[in-house]
Amino acid sequence: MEQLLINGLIAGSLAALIAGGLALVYGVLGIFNLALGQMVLLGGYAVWWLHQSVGLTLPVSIVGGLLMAGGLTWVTFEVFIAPFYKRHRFLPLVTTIALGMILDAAMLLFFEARPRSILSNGKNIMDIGGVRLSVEQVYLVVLTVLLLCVFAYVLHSTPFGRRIRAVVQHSHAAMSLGIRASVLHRVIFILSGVLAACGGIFIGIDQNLTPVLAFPITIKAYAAIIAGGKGNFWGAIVCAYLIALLEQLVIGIEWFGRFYIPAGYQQSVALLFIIVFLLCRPSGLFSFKNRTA
Amino acid sequence: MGFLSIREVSLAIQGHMILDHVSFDVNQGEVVGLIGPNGSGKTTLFNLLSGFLAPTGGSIHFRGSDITNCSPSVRAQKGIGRVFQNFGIFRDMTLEENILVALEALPHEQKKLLGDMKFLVHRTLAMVGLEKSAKKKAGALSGGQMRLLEIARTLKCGKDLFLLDEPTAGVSPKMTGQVSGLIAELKREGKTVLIIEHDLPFIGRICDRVIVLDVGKVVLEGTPDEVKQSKELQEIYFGADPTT
Amino acid sequence: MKRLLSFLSCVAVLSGCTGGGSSDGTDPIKVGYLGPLTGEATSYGMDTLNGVKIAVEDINAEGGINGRKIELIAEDGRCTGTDAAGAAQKLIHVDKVSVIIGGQCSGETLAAAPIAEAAKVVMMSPLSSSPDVTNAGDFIFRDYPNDALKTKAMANYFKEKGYTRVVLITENTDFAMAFRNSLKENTGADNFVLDEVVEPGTKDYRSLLTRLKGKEFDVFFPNGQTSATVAAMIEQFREQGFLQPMVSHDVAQDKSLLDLAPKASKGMHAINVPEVSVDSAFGSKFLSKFGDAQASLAFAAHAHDAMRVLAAAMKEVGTDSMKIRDYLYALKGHDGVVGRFRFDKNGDVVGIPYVLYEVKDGAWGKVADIPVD
Repeated sequence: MEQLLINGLIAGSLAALIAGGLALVYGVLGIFNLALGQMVLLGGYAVWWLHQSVGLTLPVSIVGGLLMAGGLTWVTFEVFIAPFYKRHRFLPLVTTIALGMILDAAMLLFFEARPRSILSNGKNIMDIGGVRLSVEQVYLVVLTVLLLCVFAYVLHSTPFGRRIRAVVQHSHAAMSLGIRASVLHRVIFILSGVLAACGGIFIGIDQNLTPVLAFPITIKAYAAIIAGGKGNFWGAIVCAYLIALLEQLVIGIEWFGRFYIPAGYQQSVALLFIIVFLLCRPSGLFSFKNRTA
Repeated sequence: MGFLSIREVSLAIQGHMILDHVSFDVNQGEVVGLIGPNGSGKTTLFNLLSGFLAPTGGSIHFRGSDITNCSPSVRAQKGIGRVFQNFGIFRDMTLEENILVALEALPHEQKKLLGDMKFLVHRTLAMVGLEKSAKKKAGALSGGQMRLLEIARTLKCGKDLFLLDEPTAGVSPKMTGQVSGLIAELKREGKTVLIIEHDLPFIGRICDRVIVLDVGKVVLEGTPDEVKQSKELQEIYFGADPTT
Repeated sequence: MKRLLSFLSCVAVLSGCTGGGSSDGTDPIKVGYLGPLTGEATSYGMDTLNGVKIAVEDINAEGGINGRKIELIAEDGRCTGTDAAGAAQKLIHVDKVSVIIGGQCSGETLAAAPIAEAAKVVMMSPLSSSPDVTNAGDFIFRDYPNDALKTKAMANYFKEKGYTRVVLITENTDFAMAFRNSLKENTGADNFVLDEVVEPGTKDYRSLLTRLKGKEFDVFFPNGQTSATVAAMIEQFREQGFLQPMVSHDVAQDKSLLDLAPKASKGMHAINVPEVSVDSAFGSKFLSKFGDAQASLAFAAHAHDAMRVLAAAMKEVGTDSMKIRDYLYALKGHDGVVGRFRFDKNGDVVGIPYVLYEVKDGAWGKVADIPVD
């Protein structure tokens, strides 16, 4: 059981990184970015390339990879989002699908189809009271939680974070106060790209990178933000962990001491989660009625 | 040219004239009421003034400079403040943060003149009697309190022109008095105010001048008394055969 | 994008053969290629396509088939049935190819087979090993051995080692599922302690593996479609502290598995077709043209031999499908890069042996030949 919780924590940390950025983008711009999974993978590949091919040290590669991811997301915003999202918020849905296909092909071209792992030597396993996990996983989970803490601080205790929250909650009012929403839109989109790249690095270290992972990643992130409530950053994070934990429990537990659920159903958990939420709480897990007329 | 001058402003959306060559001036320090039935284009005009929409024709000048093509945030920094019909407050932020974020968004040179932000936040909340709820989420306030908070915030952010969209909507009768008191305060401070309002007695109490809008056109302009007695207004609001 | 890729590869081949020079006015013979050029299994597609390209270039340099050059048209099957069916339709009815080399994934071959069969076009798969391909049609051949034989060899190996309690995790693809069924048939369904099927591309097996805690078993069989999933399986298997031996098939015996899971793959076994050395004539030619094989040089060699044996047939009997088919059934033996082989009455290859491999010092090494009866 402890092992399942730890497994959920590992998988959840990965999902949280990706879903968090997506929630911000959805909350602020109201748009769907369907090339998210590809951005995740590109971040991982960039670090793999810098570390394994160029030969930089891992920390330098990670910083470099994140910078590259940030740059790429910026270009993405200017070319695929900015010209469209003010006309209709569904237009980026189409343009980002196109972008996703372009990136899929680009990854095959530059990184080939063979799987890549960022670390060349295997993992160092440890055993803590019957729970087994690798040193790398401990790092990844701790860094993710740290990153989320930094985000929490920025979002809730700095002028910049206040501005973001203001734009999320009432963009017209924020603009009428002199907040430059268009600049914030760019910053937030780039931030989501960088967070996604962190997810890619996570995958590249904990598992391995293959160019076709993108779509399932996107789906899971969307499950988390739908369940977490529209544009609710913390809701999305909590739901990402929740879905990951459920996925582990569903197949890891001997239900009622009698049977196991076949592993093939594991991936349906996220989708089932969306459906249940849309039926029971369409506005998400973390939206409370606080409107008084 | 007035403090705010609107010249031949039109807006056509898919062939429909939402606003049709609207022109009027507002002088500095004046409180002007904007009335008209639903769908007459009042809020649309506000959206053109705040920069959320771009007119398909005409121009808007504020303090002598053309702002027709400025972004909302630039207009805000030039001194145009807006109070929204659906409450322009940030519900998931505390009252304190609601004021703070507005102060922080001011242009640099103005921010330098503010002095201690904490103190200013406290004073702004105290002005509308909400200082005790400083740490509460704004979403927990009553409609009247939200409106007071929003007006006080706009007032303390050094705005010179106020666009108030139905400040009494969603406000209990008890609080309406407080809201109009606050608007009177704006007037005393020499601010220029443009109000959209359905409550005609309310308009009569506080406005210097009233502009009547119908189907996207200015149909009437005058003092509250003149407008109240005119036949046109009766027709617009109650049809050709008035029962009162 | 897949169109773009296949277009690019066509252009590459075309420019390769027009460089040959002599044109005696006869039309080129069109040969179709069908395989995964995009998607998870792209490495198989790249290796086999490159293998075919080498054969085509050599044949054209030798003057073609009775003076006619070969024109290669590659289509993307994406390792899925629907894409492969569409690609086969295009090759047969639009391009009007004489023969098809493909598909690579068993799912591709099985979906394309009825189309080729109906149009009476000979199709030869260099890579599909699913037992279902055996009865896919009269015009369907393969020069890669049937997994029914491999699972038999595997069952014998388990018996020999005394492995009676097997843990099997299978990726839900045509190839891996057929392998699972065939393995269960040959080993006996009672011998499986855990037998789970996961969605294609799954990378997280931790919780599934926790079910094994406290259970007794002898051997772990990671039955994935690609080395990426096998790597995740074996790495997480070792992570959980299980020390049992691991045995797998062709997919695992891949260089990239060793890069992905250098520690976990230590001592792992695999049963596969014989390797093709990079030092061989074919190997060095491949290396100089395309660099390291993305999955395995043996895949490229099988694809090369498929093109060669089809070329030999067309040289002898022309491009008539019936005659090509009859030639292949009657063939006594063809000496290819992978060895001397022929085809049985179902179009399955005969003559390719199996080898037991083990990961030693960070490389796959041969342990023993496994005779095929």
